[in-house]
Amino acid sequence: MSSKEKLNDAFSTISDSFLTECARPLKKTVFQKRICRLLPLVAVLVSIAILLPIAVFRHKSDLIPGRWTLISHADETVRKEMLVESAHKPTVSMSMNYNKLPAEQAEAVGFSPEKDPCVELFAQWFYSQITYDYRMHFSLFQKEAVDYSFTSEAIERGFTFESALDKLDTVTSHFYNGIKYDLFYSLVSCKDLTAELENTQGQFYKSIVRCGADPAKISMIVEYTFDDIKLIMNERFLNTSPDGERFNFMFYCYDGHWYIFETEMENDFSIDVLGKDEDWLSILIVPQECYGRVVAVGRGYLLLDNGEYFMTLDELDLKVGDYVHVSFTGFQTKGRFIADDGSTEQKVTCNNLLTVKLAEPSTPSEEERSNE
Amino acid sequence: MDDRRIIELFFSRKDSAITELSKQYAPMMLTICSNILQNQEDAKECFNSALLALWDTIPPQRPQSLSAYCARICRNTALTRYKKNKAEKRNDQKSVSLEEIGDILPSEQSIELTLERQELTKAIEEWLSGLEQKNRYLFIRKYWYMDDAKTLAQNTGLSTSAVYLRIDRMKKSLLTHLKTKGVLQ
Repeated sequence: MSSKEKLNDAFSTISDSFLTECARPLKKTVFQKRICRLLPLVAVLVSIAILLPIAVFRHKSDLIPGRWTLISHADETVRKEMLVESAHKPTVSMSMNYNKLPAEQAEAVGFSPEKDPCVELFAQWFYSQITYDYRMHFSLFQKEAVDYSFTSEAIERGFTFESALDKLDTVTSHFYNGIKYDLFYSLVSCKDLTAELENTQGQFYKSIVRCGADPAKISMIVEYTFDDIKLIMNERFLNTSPDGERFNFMFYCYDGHWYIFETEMENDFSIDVLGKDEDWLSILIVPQECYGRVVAVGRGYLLLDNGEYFMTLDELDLKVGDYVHVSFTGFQTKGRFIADDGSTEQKVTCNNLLTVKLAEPSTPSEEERSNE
Repeated sequence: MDDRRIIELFFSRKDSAITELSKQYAPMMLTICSNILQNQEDAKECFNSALLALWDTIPPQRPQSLSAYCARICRNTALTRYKKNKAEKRNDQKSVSLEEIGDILPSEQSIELTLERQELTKAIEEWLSGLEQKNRYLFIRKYWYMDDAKTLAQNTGLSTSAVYLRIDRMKKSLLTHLKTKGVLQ
């Protein structure tokens, strides 16, 4: 029996008390109209891949960093694209496709690609998730919501809002080692859900009230649905949203300003990073080690024969076949490695490379030489 | 009807045992079958097989928890059916691989489980006991009952993204726990 089968077997025999506890839904009152459904970075990382030609990035050099640029492509698709570069963080390019959005829906909510605060917010949110930019992240939510979901928890742990952000900056600097991230998604639906607010028993109304905000100051609620989410890291590691899964994201206009709904803070790691659960956090920041033979190596990436993939900021002086000792931290999530020929068959684990040392050079052995 | 009386019906070999049990547990059992097999027709057949297995095993078995017993019978029956289907490569194009707990192990070649099943189960239970209730629910429902993320989100009030995130964290945490316990080498 393999190790995996052994573990499956052992898990299948956990005691009845666990099964009984979980036999029924945990929470009987279910929020049927979920307000926010979008995968955070980690969820996006746990996905199946679809290859996009890397050639699509060629025009990126025309983009103005930090600004949205509307681009009409030769294939008649219209995209809004942004390139964000900031010190000590990977360069992120984002591309949103509008062509799947039904015209009547866009008209109903007054949407236009040229000016839409919600897609800007969404892009900033995604950028903040990818790069762990918590300062940007919290600026996208209503202050009352941040106070309720984050600041109060931070204060309980002995931080002020500012000192908590400082700690987040320090810890999360270990979380990524990417040079370049390219993110693609399509806007496929937008709906006006302002009427939801009339239901004072509804989850949206309650959530606004519990933050101490005034529902009367909300002038509009919209729900956008995104699809085809793809993230390519260092042009070699590809993750997409699960097949057929679309993600809803809700925005609201409060006192003249647009915000993202508070529940998206639930996914942001912030409280965990402040020390709520050091156990899992240690996996992201405590170095681990492994040995393996180099299968592929290039600018920003290293792939070993044990299926571990590493992102790195360094140029690596290694060759295919080298046997190496690696120290790393990382997400340890599965995605697709983009091979030289563009194929993405191989599913690999992605980590951040800290150090790599040659354990055994790739020179042929005596036996191999004699065979030659 | 409560579980004790249903079990008595089984012991008396009365057909109503199946009817009463179905009233109580058919939705849960069908859900498990369906989660694993991803095919309604197969799930119904599997459910019927599970009912037969229950009839055949009670008595002599007198389960302490009837719901857990039904769940186990269903899961085992469905997994056997799933493996058979897979071996026959039925619906190969559409079939999705089951995401099982064993998938948390990073590499088949380099990992060796040093404990026997009973001790391994104990280590897993120890870890499960240390989880918050909501996280424990998510993990067991995901890997034991094989619920998908959308269902888990509906049943917990979390967003789908939060479900993914929590499960991902727990997978890493369990791996660390097993390493700490010296279970993995």
